[in-house]
Amino acid sequence: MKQTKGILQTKRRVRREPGLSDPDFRALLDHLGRLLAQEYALLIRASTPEATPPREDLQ
Amino acid sequence: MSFTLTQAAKTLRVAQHKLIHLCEKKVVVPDVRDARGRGSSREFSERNLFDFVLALEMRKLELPVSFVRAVLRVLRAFEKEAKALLGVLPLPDGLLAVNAPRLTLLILDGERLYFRLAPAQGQVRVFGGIDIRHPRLRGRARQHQSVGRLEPAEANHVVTNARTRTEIDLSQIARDLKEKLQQA
Repeated sequence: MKQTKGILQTKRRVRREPGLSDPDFRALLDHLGRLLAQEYALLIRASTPEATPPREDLQ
Repeated sequence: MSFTLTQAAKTLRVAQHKLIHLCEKKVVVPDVRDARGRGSSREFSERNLFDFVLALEMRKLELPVSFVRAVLRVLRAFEKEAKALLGVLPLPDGLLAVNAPRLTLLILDGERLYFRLAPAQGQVRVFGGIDIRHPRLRGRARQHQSVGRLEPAEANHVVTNARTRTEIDLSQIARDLKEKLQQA
């Protein structure tokens, strides 16, 4: 009886919690984060000209 | 600097069970030490406290946990890339720098995710457009679209034509957290 209850609970939890299981979706979120950071870095550098020199691959 | 669960709850002035819930749902993953079975305790970084505050604010708006997790994932990628580019971690202290642009999370119509960067001077930048439907619509039912920086006219159109606009000011959250840490 306990075993059956445990299985049912696990199944229910899986159904309710799809999370970030989709790799395409995760990649999209990571991409957005990187884009945001690149613009953020540009804005920070633009306001502090003598700060860290920009990375070459972003030139 | 690290915080036990008790210290984190006291600093943020929230009940411990709310923080435990977010950890158990894997919304916030302790940076310092995760719980391993009975008797072990979690330890959190200052960055984790920022995650907690943001997650709690989003939960107040009754946004699904999956939505919160997605936002925190974007911020982790943001942090990693910003550290590679600037050499410093932007969250949460970096957002308080005088020259830091104001970072805002925008949720349009309760399902589309955008971020806005507003420098002290100059044009506001809007990024995103990720469709975060209710988990039931995830998987094959979803269609992933490309995301990126919106042109000013496009950003204006998207924001103006949304039925609902939810704004969460991440810079203000960082500021409030700093004050709480100083008072603790």
